[in-house]
Amino acid sequence: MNWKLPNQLTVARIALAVLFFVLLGLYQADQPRPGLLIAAFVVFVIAGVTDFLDGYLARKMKLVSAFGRIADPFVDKVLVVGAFAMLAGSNFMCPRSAGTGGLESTLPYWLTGGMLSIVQSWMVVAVLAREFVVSAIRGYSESCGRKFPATYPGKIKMIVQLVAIGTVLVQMAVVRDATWAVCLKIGMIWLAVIVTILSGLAYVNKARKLLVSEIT
Amino acid sequence: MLKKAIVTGLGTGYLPVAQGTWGSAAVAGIFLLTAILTGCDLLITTAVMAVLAAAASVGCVALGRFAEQTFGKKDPEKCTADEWAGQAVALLLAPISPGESHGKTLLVVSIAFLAFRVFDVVKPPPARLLERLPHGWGVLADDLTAGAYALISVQLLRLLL
Repeated sequence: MNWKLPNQLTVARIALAVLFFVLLGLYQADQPRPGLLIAAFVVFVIAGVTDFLDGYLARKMKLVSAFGRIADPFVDKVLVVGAFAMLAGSNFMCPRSAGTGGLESTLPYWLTGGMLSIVQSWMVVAVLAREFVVSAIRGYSESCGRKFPATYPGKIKMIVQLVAIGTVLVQMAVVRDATWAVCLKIGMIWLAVIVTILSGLAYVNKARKLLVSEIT
Repeated sequence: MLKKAIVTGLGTGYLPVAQGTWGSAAVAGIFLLTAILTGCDLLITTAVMAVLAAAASVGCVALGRFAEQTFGKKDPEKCTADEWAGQAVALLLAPISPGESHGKTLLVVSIAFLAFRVFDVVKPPPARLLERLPHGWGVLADDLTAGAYALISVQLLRLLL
């Protein structure tokens, strides 16, 4: 493997992702430790910085490698999908004891799924499905010799997802009971899921000609 | 005069022996003072450290060539603005809480200071490679990386405290 600087940053992001998941896994909604979420947020932000830096430095220093082209998007997906999966875990469910569930426990079930993180299992499925379909289309398209670069909807989706995850962590850690913060959290998570689905549909639409031509 | 003051971390670069350590100690001192004056307010201490990190980083990059020309080499010992930036990063969102004892705050600051010094000296990957970036970027990037490592180490204290 080419052990140049950009690849070191990509490998560092893998380690940061593992640490991030461990911190999220240790959190328990019925015995909240805001410090864990703050630590997770810090690790998440550093991972995001390495995500920007590895591609930027690879292009700037002309050190683009096969490892980087494979590992960079892979680690991005693991980080985002993994974050959604961890936030949908039972340790983020609204506590059942009276008076401890917070504002989230008083809102309609379809909106929150009974989750302090607002991330519901079906949302994880939607995020995963989008990644699968785009990877499948991209893989087949490039095997046919047709490049399928990232699109603006895809980049916007990534940014919205990252901001949504960050919002959940900060809200749960720092502004736990503020109504405006809970509403912002709900809005960001739902926006991330909707943008994810729409960007997936945009990719499918873009690949429409490719898909149709192969059928006939 | 002002440029020299910035690159030498308000003169800490002129102190004898281990100038980088003096630069880090200055930031740790500012954090401690802010924490004591605000009753360990997390947002205020983080804001102060963020401003310090940003200002020192900008100073380092903008005055990198000036520092090289003034002191005759890349990343001269007297240039401690990079240590200011890295140490400030290590103290972002430090695990302190309002009303806690000064002893605990001092413990957190001490660990952040030691962690940053260790990572700044050892320079684990990719810090050493980042030093090769040109001018001010190369001077700054390895310290910011050490700061990031120290920041993560300090955050993991939350599992113990």
